[in-house]
Amino acid sequence: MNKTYKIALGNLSKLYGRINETQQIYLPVRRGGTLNFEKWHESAVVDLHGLKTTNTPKDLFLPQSEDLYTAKMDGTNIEIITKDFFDNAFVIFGVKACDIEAIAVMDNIYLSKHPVDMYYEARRKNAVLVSLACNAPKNACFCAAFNIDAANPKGDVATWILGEYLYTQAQNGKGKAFVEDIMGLFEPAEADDLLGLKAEIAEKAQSLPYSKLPLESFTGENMMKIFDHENWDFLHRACIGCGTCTYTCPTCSCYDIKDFDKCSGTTRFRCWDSCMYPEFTLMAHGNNRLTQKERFRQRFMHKLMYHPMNYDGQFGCVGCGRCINKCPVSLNIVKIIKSLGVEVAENANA
Amino acid sequence: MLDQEKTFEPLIVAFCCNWCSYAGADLAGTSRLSYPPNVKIIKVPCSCRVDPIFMLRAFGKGADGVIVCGCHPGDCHYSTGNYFTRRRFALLFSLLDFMGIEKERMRLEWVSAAESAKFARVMNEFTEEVTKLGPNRRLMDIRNLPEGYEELGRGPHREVLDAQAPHARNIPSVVKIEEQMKARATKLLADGVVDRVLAWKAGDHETMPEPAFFDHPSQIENMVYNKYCAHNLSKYLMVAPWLGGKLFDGSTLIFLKPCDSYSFNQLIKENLINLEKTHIIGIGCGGTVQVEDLEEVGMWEKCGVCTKIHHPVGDEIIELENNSPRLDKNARFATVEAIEALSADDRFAFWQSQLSKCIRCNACRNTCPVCNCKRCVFSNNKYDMASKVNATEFEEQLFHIVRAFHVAGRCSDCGECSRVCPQDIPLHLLNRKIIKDINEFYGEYQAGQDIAAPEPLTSFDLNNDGQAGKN
Repeated sequence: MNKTYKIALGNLSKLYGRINETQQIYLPVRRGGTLNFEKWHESAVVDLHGLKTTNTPKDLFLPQSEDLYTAKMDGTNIEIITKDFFDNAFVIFGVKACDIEAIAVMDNIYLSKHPVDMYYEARRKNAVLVSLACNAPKNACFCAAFNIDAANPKGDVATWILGEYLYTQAQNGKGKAFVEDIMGLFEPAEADDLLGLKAEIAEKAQSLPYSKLPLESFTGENMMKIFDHENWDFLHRACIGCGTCTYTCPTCSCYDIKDFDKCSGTTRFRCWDSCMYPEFTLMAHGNNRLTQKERFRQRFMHKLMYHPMNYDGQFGCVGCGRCINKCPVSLNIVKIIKSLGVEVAENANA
Repeated sequence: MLDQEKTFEPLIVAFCCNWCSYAGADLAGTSRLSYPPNVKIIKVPCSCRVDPIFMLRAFGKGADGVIVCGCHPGDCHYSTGNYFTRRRFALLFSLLDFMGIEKERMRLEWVSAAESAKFARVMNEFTEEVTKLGPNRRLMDIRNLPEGYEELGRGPHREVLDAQAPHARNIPSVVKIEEQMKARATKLLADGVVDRVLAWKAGDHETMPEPAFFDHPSQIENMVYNKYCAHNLSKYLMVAPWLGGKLFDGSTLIFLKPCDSYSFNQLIKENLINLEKTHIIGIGCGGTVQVEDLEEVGMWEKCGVCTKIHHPVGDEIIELENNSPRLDKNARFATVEAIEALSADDRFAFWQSQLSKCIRCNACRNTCPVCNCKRCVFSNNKYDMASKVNATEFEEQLFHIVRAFHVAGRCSDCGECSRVCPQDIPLHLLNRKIIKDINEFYGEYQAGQDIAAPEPLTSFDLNNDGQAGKN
């Protein structure tokens, strides 16, 4: 069992400042009315009590846009200037259990198979993940459906807010080294203090309206049945084809590679892409998904079928509920799971 | 490495109309009148050809000042082109000023073919003025900065003003209306008057109704209408080109809340709706609420200041029993006025802080009823303005200025852009600023109210449109 420490909430800014001396620290900051992970500075409005950030921690590993290299023309010579890999240690503080799990999904996509994505790897290697248990999961949360424990978040270091204190436990070697480094600000605490809180969170998470979803049917053998299901015809109907769900999704990982022409040279960069856009994977022959129905289906098939089939049953959704909150027309993955999951299961039993 | 200490030489881009101003520039040259070499002239067939995007991209690519020159009003080679230019740039300059971007960097001037001396004088003056302002950093793609130049004049993101104050107002019950709607929909479907119904379908949770089509009377029981039905349905009757799919051949019954009916009327005006195959029922609305985590947060800002009670279009109307008293019709401009009252630096900081949150999900564009181009200028992989790219703050500025400006005079202030924004950027304020300016410059105008009324940006007043600057 790892040792438990605590720090008074009032001293947290001291803690951030202390971490900031040696490495950058990103945490939920409220700016312009919105909660997002942002770099800490002394006047930043940190809000650890907010439930969900709009942007996800994936922004820090797969930035929305990232330069790859620059080609410079000098007469007939072309000089390629590669960009150094990211090499600054940084800390992400206050990541919720679902988002931590989402990083595991991203790790599978980018790191588990050869060749690994070196840009992602460089950022991932440099990060310390400090998770935070959700004291008050809300109705749109459905991490419990994916067996994610909101009371015991993973990451390198886990933290809990109990009363006026932030409790912390290192979860692995990296976390231990990190905690030892800032030990001076903490005082020892009893792990048992947290038992009540944990039980309370677990109970809350299980009692939320979407905590039990019919996921059993989403298995490899049902793939074509689900792909060809007639319900897609009306499920997609309200979709307006924006990229909100993909860009605020913690596990959406598609990107496009583009060039920026500076006249004096060209910078090649990559930027997020969304399967909801007609320009997604546009090729010389045009696009192979012609209507929004196909684009819409692709997104959910990827999360619920293709990803689990490729990665040992791990779903591409972690139940963070951002799509529930953010979709302009109230579509979301829960509606899809309920509509298809129930019907496919019923047909199998019949 | 460039030396920043060196005297600043501004880059001026001049868009000159082929018939007057370019000839004026030519004459200035042949008359040996000198004007600064900083001015780079781009010839256009008419000053009216200059899209705001031209100007913004010139700034993005490193221009420190942009000037548009055309024939004097009344002299346009195409009779009326410069009258449109005049209104368009009056609004654009005002919008950019609203966003804290220095107004002095842009100018509209009338230069005739004979006015070589005026051309030289204007260019000298403008260059001098821009030199005094220093390099353009507020509307500039930093990727275009030469190596060694620093990003100046932007400053850190900071809080200036809270633009999304919540609204408290009682929301009247619409249960009765829902019943009436269901009855009418069932009747019209059963009678074969319409082949399908466009309304809202109950979601898996009370707060989650979604826009839906109903093809059969038996499906109508799933229909709902309540305070969570904030979605504007207008656009679904237009096949949005990016959605693909086939055009529906039958007739449709559409339910429109008052604010939706204004945008729908605008679509009718733009010939995008086949009225013969549309049956419109206007429905009363007492306001809609914002939902987060399936819980009510408060009334949408757009509903809090809404004054639209009547339906400008509709075959039938189902009214709310007691329409609650509405606010003063100019209440919606309060936040715009609060921003106008700020200093230019604060206005810039406010919009920089807001727009930098943008993730370019395009929800604002795709949901906007009047963003109805067959192909959006941002659905473009060729240029450095593709819809998904979000590499610098300039791209966010460019997108949102252009988005707001492309619906100028057509926006009915339905507020959908701000409602759908996942980052809660108060995008509607840009549109409201334009609406306010239109009201002040060219007389009160409400898009979608009257399809016969001339639109402010495609009409003009021969004598009274001088707001674009010095004539």
